[in-house]
Amino acid sequence: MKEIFLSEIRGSLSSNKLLVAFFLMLIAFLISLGMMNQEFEKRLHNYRMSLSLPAKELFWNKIFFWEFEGDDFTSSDDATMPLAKIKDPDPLIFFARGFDTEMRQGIDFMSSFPIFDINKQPEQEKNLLHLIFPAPDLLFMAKVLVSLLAMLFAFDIICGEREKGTLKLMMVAGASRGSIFTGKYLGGLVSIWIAFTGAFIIYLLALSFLTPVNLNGGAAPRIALIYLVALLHIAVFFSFGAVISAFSRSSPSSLVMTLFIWIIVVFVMPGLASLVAQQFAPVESEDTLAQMKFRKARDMEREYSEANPGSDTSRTGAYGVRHDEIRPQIVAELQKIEDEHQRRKDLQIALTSNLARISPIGSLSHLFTSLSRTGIGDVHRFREDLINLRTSLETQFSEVIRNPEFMVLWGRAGWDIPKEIKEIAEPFFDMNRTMKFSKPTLEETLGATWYDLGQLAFFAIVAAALAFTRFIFYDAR
Amino acid sequence: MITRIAFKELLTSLLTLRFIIIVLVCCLLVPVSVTVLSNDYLAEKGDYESRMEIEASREGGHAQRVDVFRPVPQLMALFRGVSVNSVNGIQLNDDPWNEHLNSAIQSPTEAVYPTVDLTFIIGFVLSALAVILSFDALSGEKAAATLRLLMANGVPRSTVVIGKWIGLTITLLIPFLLGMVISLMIFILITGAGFNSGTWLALGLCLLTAMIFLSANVLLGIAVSAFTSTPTQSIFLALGIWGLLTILLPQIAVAAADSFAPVPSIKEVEKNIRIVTNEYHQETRDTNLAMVERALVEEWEFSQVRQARRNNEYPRETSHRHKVVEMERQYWRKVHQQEQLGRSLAMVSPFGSLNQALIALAGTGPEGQWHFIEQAYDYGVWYFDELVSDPNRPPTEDVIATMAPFEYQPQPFSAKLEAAVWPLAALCLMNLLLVIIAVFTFNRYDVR
Repeated sequence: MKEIFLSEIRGSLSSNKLLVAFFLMLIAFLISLGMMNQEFEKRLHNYRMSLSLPAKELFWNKIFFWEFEGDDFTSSDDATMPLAKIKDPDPLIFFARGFDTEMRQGIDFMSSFPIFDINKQPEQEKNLLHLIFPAPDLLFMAKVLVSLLAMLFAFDIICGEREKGTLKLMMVAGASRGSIFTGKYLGGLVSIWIAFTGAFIIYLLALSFLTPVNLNGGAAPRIALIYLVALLHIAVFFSFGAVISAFSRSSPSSLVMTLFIWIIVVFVMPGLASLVAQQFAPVESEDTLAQMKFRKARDMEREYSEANPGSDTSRTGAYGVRHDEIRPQIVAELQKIEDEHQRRKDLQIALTSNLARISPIGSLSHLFTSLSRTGIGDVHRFREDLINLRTSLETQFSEVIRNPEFMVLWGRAGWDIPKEIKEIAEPFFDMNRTMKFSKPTLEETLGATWYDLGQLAFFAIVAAALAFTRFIFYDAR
Repeated sequence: MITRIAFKELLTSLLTLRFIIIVLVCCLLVPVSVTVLSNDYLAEKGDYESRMEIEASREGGHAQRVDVFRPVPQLMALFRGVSVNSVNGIQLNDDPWNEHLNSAIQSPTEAVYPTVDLTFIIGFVLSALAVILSFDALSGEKAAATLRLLMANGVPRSTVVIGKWIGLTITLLIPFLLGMVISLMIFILITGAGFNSGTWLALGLCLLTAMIFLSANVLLGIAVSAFTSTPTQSIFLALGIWGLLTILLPQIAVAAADSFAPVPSIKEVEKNIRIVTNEYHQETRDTNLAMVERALVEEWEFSQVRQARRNNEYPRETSHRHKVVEMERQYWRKVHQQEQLGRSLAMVSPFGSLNQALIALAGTGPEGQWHFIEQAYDYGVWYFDELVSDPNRPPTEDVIATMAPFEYQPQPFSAKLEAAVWPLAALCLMNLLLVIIAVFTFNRYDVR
C-alpha cells in the first residue's frame, strides 16, 4: 500500500498535475485577495470616518437640529455624520464575506419619532456592478475552484488505471484490492492537499504583509480551523470523484459525469434550496415592515386622539406622533411587529440552511462564515446587541425628557443650547460604554457548527466507503 | 453537407446522458426559479402600490420632504438584475442630501445563497453544460477514429466545424426554449400580467441574446477541441478558459474600473454637503438677525418681519438647493462613469456581455436606476423651487395641494436597446472570432 501511495504522489508530481493545481489555486487566491483588499480598504476608510466625530455632538445635531458653537462642541464643519454605531470591519471577511453586509446597521437618532431606529447604513459604494460581479472571497474559490480540482484529481484513479492496463498488473503482482484503493485514494488526496496547503500558506503570507489587515485577536485559531475545514471539503469532493471513477469504465465518461455532478452539487442544489425556502417560507420586505409599523403607530395615535379629545400636541413626526403618554405602548407594539418579522426571517434562513445541507457546499458555507464571524449566528448576536442598545437609549432618553426642569429649559432654548440642558442630559451622552458589539468565542462558534463539521466528515466517509465497496467488485479487465 | 453533419450531430447528442441532464436543468430549475421570482414580483408590486397609497394619504403635507418611487419592472421575475439592490425610491428633501431608498424583497440568505434567476442559470449552468456538450466534438471523434473516415469522404474541414457547431447549438437550444416557454406560461399564470409590444420585443431580444451566448460557449468547446488531441486535454483546457471568462474576468474588470476611475466615499460627499449647508445656515441666520435688529429699531409690524424673512430666505434656499443637488449629481456622475468603464471592460467576457444585455433589456439593470434618479432629481428641484418661488405665497397646505405629483416616465425601449446593443455586438463578435479560430485550428489538425 505504501508503494502505491508513494507512486501516486510521484505520478502527480511527474505529470505536473500537482503543480498545475497549485498554481491555479495560488492565482485564484491572490486574485481574491487583491479584490477583497480593495473592498476592505474602502470599508475601513468609511468606518474611520464614521468614528471621526464623538457621539455627543452628533446627538445634539440630530435631536435639536441646531448648529453648535462654543467650547463644549466641535465646530459645525465637523458635524457631518449621522449618529450611528457601525461594527468595525472584521479582517476575517477575506475568508468569507457571508452576512457581513447585514451587520452594517447602526442606531440612528432621528429628530422625530421614533427617536431611535435601527437603520441600515449607506452602502460604502453605489456602483451596482459590484453587486452583479462581487469580489470573490476565499469561500467562493473553495466552492467553485477547489472542489472542481479535487474532483478532477480523482475522476480517473480507478477507471484510468483500468484503461492503461496497470490495474491488472497491480493485482497480478499480489496487491490486494483494499491496499490498491487505499494507496491510490490517500496518494491522490494527499497530493491535492499539498497543492492547497502551498497556495494557502502563500495566501496567508500575502494577507499579512501586503494588506492593512491585522490578524491578531484570536484570528489565528479560526484561520487554522478554516484550513482544516478546507482540507475536509477537498476530501469530500475527492471522494465524489473516486465514486464516479469506480462506477465508470472509461476516463472520458467518468470526466463528463464528474462535471455534471460538480455543476449540480455546487450551483444547482444550493440555488434550489434558496428558491424552495423562499417559496415555502416567504418574508415580507423591509418596506412592508416599515409600512406595517407606520400604520400601527398612526392608528394607535388616532384612537388615542378620538378617546381623549384635545390631547393633541403640536409635535408631529414620521408616524404623526402627538402623544408622549402612549409612547411606551407604541414602542412595545412596534417591537412586536419587528419580532414577528424576525421570526419569519429566521424560519426562512433555517429552511434554506437545512435544505442547502443536502449539498456539502451548504455545510462548507456555514463553517466558513461562522469561523469568519460573518455567519447567521453572528447576525443574530449583532441584532440582539442593537436591540438592547436601542432599549437602553430609549429608557435613558425617556428619563431625560420626563425631567420637568429639562422640558422647561428646552422650551426656552434659543439658538444656543443652555448649559443646564447639557448637564441634565450629560449621563446620557456617555454612549461609547454601551456601544460594544460582542463577538463569539471560538467555543461558541464550534458549538454552533459541530453538526456541519460532522456532516462534511460523513459525506467524505460515506463517499469513500461507497467507492471502496464498488472497487471490490470492479472488473479490472 | 453542413445540414447533414448538423443533423447527425443533433441525433447523436439526443441520445446521450448530457442531453438528458440539460433537459432536466431546463425543465426543472428554470420553472422553479420563475415561479418563486414571479411571487416576488407580485409582492414587490403590492409594496409599490401600498407605498403610493401611504404617500398620497400622508398627513401634514410635503413642505420639507416628498418621497418618489419607481414602479417594479415586469421582467424582474426572469432577469432579476440589480432590481433588488438599486434605488427604487428617493426621499427628496428641501434640506440637503436626498436620501436614496431601497426596500425591495431580498432573501435574508442572499449573501450566501444568491437567488437563482434566469441570468444565473443561462450564464453559469447552461454555459458550463454547453462546454461539456461540445468539448470532445473533434478530439472525441479523433479518439474514436471516426474523424479520419469523415475526412476520407472529402468533406471540407470548415464544413465539419460549422456543421458540428449548428448541430450542437440546436441540441442545446431545444431544451432551453422548451424551458423558457414553460416558464413564460408559469409567469403569466401566476402574475396574470399581459405584456405590451415593447415588453414582448425586449423578451424576444433577451432570448436572442441568450441563444447567441450559448452558441459562443458551444463554439468555445469546439475551438478547444480543435486544439487538443484527446478529450481529457480538451475538457481541462475548455473548463479553464470557461472559468476564466465566466467567473474571473468580469470580477477583475469591475475591480480594474475601481482603480482607474475612483469614486470618493459617499461619506466624504455627505460631509462636504454638510459643510456647505452649515455655511448657508450661518449666513441666513446672520442676515435674519441683522434684519431683526433693524426691525426692533424701526419698530416693524410682525407681518413685515415675516415678509422680510421670506425675502431673505427663499432666494438663498433655492440657490443653496441647486448647489447641493449639483454636488449630489456630480457624485452620481462619477459613480456612473466608473460603472460604465466597468461594464465596457466586462464585455471582454461573454458572461459579462450576456448579463449586461439581459438586464438592460429587462429594465432591471443599472441604466434603469440612472433613468429614475435623473427624473427624481429634476422633479425635486422643480418641486421645492416652485414652493418657495414667490415670497408672497408661503408653502401652506393649500399651495402644496396644487403641486403636481411625481409621474415616473418608463425607460423607452430605444434606451434599453441602446444599452444592450454593445454587449449584443460583443457576443456576435465572439461567435465570429471563435468560428474563425475553430476553423483555422482544425485546418491544421492531425486527424490520425
